[in-house]
Amino acid sequence: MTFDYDGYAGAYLRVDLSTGQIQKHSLPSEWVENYLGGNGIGIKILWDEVPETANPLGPDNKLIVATGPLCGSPMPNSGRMEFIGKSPLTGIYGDANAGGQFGPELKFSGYDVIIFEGQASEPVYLYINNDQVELRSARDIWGLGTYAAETRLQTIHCDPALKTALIGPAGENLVRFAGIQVTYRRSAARCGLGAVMGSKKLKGVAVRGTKGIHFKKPKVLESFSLQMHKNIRRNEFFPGIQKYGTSGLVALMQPIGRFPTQNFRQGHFEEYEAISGETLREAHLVRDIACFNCPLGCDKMYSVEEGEFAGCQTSSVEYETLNSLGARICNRNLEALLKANEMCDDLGLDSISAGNAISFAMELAELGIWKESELNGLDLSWGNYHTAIQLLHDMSYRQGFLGDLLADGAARAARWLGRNSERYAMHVKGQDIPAQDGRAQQSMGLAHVTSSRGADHLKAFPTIDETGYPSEAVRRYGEQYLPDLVNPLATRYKAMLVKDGEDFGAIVDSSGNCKSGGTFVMAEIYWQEQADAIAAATSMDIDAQKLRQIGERIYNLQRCYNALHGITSSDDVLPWRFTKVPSPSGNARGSVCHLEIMLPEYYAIRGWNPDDGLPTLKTMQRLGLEAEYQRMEHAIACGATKAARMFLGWAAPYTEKVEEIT
Amino acid sequence: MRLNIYPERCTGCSACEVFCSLHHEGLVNQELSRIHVYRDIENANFLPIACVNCQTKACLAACPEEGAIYINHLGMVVIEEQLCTGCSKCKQACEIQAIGFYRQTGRGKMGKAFCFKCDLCDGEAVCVNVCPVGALVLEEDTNGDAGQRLFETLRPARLEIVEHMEARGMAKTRRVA
Amino acid sequence: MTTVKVRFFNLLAVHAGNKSRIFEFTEETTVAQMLAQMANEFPPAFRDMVYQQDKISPHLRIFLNERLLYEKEFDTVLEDGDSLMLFPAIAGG
Repeated sequence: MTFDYDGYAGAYLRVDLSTGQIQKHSLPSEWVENYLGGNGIGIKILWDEVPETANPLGPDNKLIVATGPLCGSPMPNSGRMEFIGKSPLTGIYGDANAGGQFGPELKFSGYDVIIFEGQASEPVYLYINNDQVELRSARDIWGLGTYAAETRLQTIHCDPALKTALIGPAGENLVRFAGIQVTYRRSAARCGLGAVMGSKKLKGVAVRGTKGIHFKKPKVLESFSLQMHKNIRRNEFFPGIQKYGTSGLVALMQPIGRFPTQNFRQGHFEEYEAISGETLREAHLVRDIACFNCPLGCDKMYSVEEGEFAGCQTSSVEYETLNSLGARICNRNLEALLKANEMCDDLGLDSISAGNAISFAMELAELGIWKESELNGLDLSWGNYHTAIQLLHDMSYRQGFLGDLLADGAARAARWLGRNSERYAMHVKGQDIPAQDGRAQQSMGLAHVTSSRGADHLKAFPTIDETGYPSEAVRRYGEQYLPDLVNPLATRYKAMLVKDGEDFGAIVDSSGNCKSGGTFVMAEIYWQEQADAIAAATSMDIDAQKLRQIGERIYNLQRCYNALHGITSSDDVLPWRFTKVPSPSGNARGSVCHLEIMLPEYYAIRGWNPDDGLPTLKTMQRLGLEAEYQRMEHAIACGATKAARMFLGWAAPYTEKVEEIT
Repeated sequence: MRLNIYPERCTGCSACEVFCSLHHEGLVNQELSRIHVYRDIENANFLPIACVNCQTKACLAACPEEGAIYINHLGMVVIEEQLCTGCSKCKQACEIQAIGFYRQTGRGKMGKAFCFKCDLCDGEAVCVNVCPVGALVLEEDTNGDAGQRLFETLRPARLEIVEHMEARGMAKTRRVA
Repeated sequence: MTTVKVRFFNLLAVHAGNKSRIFEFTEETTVAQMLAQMANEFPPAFRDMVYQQDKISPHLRIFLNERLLYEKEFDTVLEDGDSLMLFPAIAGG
């Protein structure tokens, strides 16, 4: 069997870690025709091969490493790739996306996808050098941080151009929010897929590929992609993003009131200037660096020259981390924040979930919920960055009572702990809420609950109404939705914005380009441009309309996969702080998130049942997913979904009003 | 006309390599790019290297094949890949390794081995067009020695990166040599 | 006398050469008039970020006392003690 389409490497690897067997197969055409690549192929494999009974950290879970047709292509920011698996953090569908250089290198070596299954008895890593694919002992690198392990592998294989995807100690110790670190220092952090690798005793993948990628119409793709590069460089958003990356958002979020502070108690941080993107660049920038084929280069390298944290060198200090390990825990020490970022990358931790676990612990300390004996002498006062740094270490090695407990994430820790602690675990479906307060931007509140991987800004990535950019809104959706569509506090049309973002985002994540590139904020690349690029790359019979359907199919199948685990509309909720307590901050002052208005509208647009929030038969038939619908219905009818739900492991978000401490 | 390189502006994004290989070979393959970005990320160091039109032109003298390497109307040294036998003497002669070598099977182009280098895309250098930070610029060489001066700065800069790689235990590889 | 504090962010601060400025007005001044005064005082790069084809750029974000100002509110008259924050085009998460 051969594979028909250019633009793909055309083959995938199936690696059984239990037996050590490695199989190479042609990529099935129906995978790419129905699911495109990356994210889409990931959910297809997960749906087919990982049942609801599979333990995320057991041998039945699989880790899928997947690229898409535009990964490694000349289209701007084409370095993105996906990891997909059942999440140990949420117990449901999980994925994590990373830039850097790894994804393209995997395609250059001749493979679009790797499926890891089973569990190795001894630590191993997968070495790929074009046609040579081997499992090798990782005994010498097990226990190392990701920086040292990457360098070690490059040394072992005598190749500074070797690209790696690795876990650190956090993944090895099954921290439920352990990430996977890819060359160079980019994180596929969310959903704890690093712990899936850890459970499989898989330290990582090291790949070198020199085969390149062929495209159907190379000249067309070259000129089209060059035009896209130029459009992005001319875009109004380009200079600011190029200079500050996402860290530039720290200041903007203050007057919007969207910057979670003190475990989401406030939406602004009084001392934000100490940790703003402007301060970061002035005081610590070493160099602007970029992911594969990206004109923006929002990644930057920073260093700390003096003081307690001198010698720290770290990159990709994102808005999210400046919040989660900064304002969320009331830490105003930027050097400590850089150190914490360096540690998260080296230990292999999701900095969002790590920060959320720490802020959860700090709030419990303020409320006197911890027992003295549990704290092991740690001072959990707000803003104590020494404690935060100690906890990053303790969680990664599961040391001490607190380290071990918090390593399961705030939502699980709350369930285990009781004592009303679940009120202070800020999560949706077990996933820690990122630095995007839904009270200040209604669409973002909706996006958190409809995201298929639990609380998340990047599934729908609604940016048009963050502060409201009418010109981008008109380019995408026309005049008719103004001004409500761009008003962050309005609820009208937000269901449409979120649904469209999720479908388009599924396509971007399945193609291999970047959501922070021209696809969302800049509104340069949308359905038509994406379809044109894929058509030139692959000669697939594809247009914007077909692409929309694939995006919808992917997103619906992710929802159905979650439904197999007992997820319904009753899980589409935000914690009380977002719906019951009016925001005390900035432009959002007095506002709560109105899910009760947006969610029914969202279900209706999606063609989902208003009662249980699951896709209807009609919707599934339209997407060619009738068999999948039958399986879901059967699982619900026979009680399998209820049984699966018992194993999710987290305490549901607390939704009743609680009096805030003043 | 010559390529001017500002290494301090480079972000290591590889867009130049991607477009170069696509433009010349019809596929994306950094191994086949006529410009190569050396990456020493530990020291936050990127160094794009391509032919900068030096005055020495050791490559010309080193080639044993009649007509396989010559100076074109832009003043650039170009390799006639149909006549190149892939002996790689030109590559060895270039002190900044601005000439690449690719071996498939056998010898010569398409199922063979050959050397390749920058030809400025006949004056429309695609790498310059795509570089987002102005690290690559096309300039007229008015005095005739600008290329040579750049060459003199690139040579030690490149050696520094290579030596650093070797010190870290990463032995020589095809393009980092 | 009306005294207002204006803070500049991102590239606006770079182009203004300053992170903040105190402006004093003796006459009634609107937000739009104040922008025009700044554009005259600061280097052209600043003006280019504030105006687009002689109109206030749709990408300029203005917060007056931490409230987002919409285009129709640009004729709001400044009051003593007002605080403004100005951002160029940035968004994301």
